[in-house]
Amino acid sequence: VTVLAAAHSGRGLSLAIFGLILAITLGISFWASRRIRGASDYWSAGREISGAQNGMAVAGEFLSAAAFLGVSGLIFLSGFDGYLTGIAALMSFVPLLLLLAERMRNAGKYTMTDVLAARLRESPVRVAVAITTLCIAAFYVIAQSVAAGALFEALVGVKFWISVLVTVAAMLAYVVLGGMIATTWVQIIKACLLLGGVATMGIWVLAKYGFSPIHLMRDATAKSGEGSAYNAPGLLFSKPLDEISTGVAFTLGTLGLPHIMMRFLTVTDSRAARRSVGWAVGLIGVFYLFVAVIGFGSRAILGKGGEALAGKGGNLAAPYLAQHLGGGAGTTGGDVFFAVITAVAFATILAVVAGVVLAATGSVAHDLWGGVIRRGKSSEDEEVRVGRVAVVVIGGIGAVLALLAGKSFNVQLLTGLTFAVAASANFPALLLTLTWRRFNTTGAVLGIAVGLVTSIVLIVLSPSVWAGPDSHDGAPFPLTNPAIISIPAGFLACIVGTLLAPKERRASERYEQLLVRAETGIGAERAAAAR
Amino acid sequence: MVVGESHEPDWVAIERSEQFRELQAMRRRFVAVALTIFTLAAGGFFICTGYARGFMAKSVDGPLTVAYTWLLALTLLTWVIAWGYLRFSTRTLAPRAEAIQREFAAAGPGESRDEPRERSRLRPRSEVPR
Repeated sequence: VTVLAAAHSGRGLSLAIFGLILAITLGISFWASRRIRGASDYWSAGREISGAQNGMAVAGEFLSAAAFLGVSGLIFLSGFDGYLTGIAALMSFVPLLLLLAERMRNAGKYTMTDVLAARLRESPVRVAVAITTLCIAAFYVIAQSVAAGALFEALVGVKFWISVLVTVAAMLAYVVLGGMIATTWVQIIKACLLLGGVATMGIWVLAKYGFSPIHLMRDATAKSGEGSAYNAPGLLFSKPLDEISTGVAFTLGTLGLPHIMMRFLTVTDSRAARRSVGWAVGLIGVFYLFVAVIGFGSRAILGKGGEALAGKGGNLAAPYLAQHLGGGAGTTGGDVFFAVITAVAFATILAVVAGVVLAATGSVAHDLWGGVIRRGKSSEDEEVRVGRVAVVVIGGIGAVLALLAGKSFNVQLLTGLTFAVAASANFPALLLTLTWRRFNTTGAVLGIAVGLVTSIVLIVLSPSVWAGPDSHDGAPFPLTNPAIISIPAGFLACIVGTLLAPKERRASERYEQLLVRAETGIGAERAAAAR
Repeated sequence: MVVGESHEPDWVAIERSEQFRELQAMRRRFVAVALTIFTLAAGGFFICTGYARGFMAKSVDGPLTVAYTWLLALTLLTWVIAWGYLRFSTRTLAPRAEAIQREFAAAGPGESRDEPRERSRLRPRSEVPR
């Protein structure tokens, strides 16, 4: 109780800074809403986003509260294994860049499903991907809301349900009013705030250790009480396969995340798509270096006593480190820095939720409504209207799920589950559509269904869900992350489904077209200015 | 805005053309090499975190273990591959893709904007966007 009381001294300031961020981002949404003249503006920002801007936005989309609070918390708790989850996510940019980024830009339109629909039968594929997109969005919203709830309840003293409602209301405003234009700018602002925040904290921590990372790590190791185990694999993931599975989920998950893939459809040309990946990789790499310093710093500076403050998942280690750096609880400096970092973390949550929900909305409006229910007869403006209704519905469902979600999970590990679902359900079908002539609708639908069902069922049967995060009872499935089983299952189902079904004429006839379009950009949608 | 039917390029002809095959082969070669290096480095890393924990825990310099050193090396590798591919794609692939576009793509609504800015200035005024 005394700990919480100390934390509340910065409450007014936190709320004021947070209010300022909210006001600026809402202002951008209103500005963006006046610029939206059509579907292309709404879904892909008129394809007018430059490479550097999109790179910032990809970084913003990517660096969720999980990446900041979750990874630094995991490093605080278990050293090396925590850092592994962060760098594994960074590494996903290699397969993303080599296999999908430009081709997505060249062949897609508003959602990642457009690439599949270019050669497969539209209705089944769009329905399948829309379902996975909604599942991924739901998982993501839960993970981010757990962070929002934990952050606000513990740090600012606002009730969990209020913080959820504020998150959802602000997200609705961004997405309903401003579509992709507003969401992109919110991402860019948030990326700047977040990078500024972690850089300040990281440099501050390093300065205390004479800018010697080795000194910092030595002190953190000593304070961890784990000895050299703190700097080796195994503290967080005791089972070898669990460690590998989580790593693989983060390394391949990005390639199936609809809101990240959608980002490549907003840029002016494939050159900008490439450049944005370059920017994102650079920024995210630097980000994780600072996050490592923050993780070690919180262990070295807060010590064992920090564990009570940081909470069971370790999610709150970074804000308390900020408070300590600023001068400690109750001091002006401590309150200010604490408030700033809390507000930045909250802005991060808002922005990521907005991005994920926009992708889910695109899937409902463009894929389900436009592609399946109206079979391409709906006007694009109609799709935008449906999209805006869908945002409100998805936001409502997200709020309910968030209120039901537990708070003792580490948010980075929750996000890892989302990545596993994305990598198992979407990635195999997307890759095979672009590379395998024989691939057909049956294969895609079966692969997506098997990947989705396998990953979700295994998550439900895993120790952290089946038996509860605190239980040490056995669970039907021994691993906490299903990726190592569910990704191969997704690929296998794609291949088996394809070979079992008769040859599909359209799928192989359109293969050349998709290949040429993806490779050269011929026929790619032009920037909005050209309409 | 989908490619108008009247301007539909002959996809099969493009796909069978010498230039396209060459473009594809060059890209595949680069991707195969980069992806192999990446898969070995990252796959080996993940397997070692699971099954060679004693080796990963060996110290390189105080608390800096083999595990951390490898992880930092993977960060660097990610940067190097990203930089290398972007450079290769911009210098080698993009000009070839543009040449194919110029040769095969029907001018008009289907034409892509994926061309360097200098060239767009040379286009007739009516074709320059807005």
